[in-house]
Amino acid sequence: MLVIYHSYGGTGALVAAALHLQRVSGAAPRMTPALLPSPVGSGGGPGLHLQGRDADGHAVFALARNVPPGVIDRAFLGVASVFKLPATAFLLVDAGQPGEKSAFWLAWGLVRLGRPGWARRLLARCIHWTAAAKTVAHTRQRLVALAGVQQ
Amino acid sequence: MKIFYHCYGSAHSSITAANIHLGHLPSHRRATLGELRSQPLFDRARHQDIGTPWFLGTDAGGHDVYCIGLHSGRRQLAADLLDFLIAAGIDSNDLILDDALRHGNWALRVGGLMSRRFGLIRLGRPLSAWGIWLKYWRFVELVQAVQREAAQRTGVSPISLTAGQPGPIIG
Repeated sequence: MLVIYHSYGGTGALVAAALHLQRVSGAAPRMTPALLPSPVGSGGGPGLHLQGRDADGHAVFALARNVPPGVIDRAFLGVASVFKLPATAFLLVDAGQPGEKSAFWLAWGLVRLGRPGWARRLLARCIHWTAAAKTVAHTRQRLVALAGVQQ
Repeated sequence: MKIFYHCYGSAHSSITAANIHLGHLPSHRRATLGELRSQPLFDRARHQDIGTPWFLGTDAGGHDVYCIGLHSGRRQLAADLLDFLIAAGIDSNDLILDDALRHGNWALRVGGLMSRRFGLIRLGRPLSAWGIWLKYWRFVELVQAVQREAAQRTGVSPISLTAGQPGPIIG
């Protein structure tokens, strides 16, 4: 199954994917460069990126979106339906965090001003680890339930 | 093969391209404003429908034609959808995603905004139809390029049999 975490700009999605893959753990995890998306204009770009496979073999993706989450849901579910992909083939998870969109554009501006370090600190501050951990825990429960449905 | 024409809200550009593709609108002459306004599904999609694919029909080559609105980030989202389908095991040769709004002009955009976003249908619908009328040949070229691409990939011509009698290109 494909597990796709998405968020505006991608920071929340990358953090959720890293938690899912147990690349970060502990009560107070730290933001590392690998967890930060490449802001627009700094050589990176948005898109769907494979982060790895979890212990159960699910492919975990992070998607940096620039449209509302409802559009992502309708578009992915719609084209999946057109191609007759089973509902158990993938799981879309909105890993967006409060203030992430504003932080992303502020960070983009800071990168344009030649302050990537400030941009990184700003993006790190917008991440609420507890909320991200809850999202991942809920996703794991859904995966278990879907595995039960498949069997 | 599945062919998706995408634009902002699947109300005007993508609908027009799909209807040209399926022969509901002429490709050998410029459609009239009346034909544009009365084409199937023109100026019908609501804002909350953005992202939902609409099936418009099957062309003579057996290719299913869809429209989809991908909001303001349509180019990126189209690339993301393609990546997703490939990751899910779909052959990328089985689909074409084409941006129908790349020939959009201010009249089309303002008209669409007025009609679909602000509910000013009596003003917005004719304005968006006029915007398409101005760029009609660009839409025909766009569709013909997609039809050539589909024919190359499948070896089957997608020219619609419902387009009426073929005639000479006038003008």
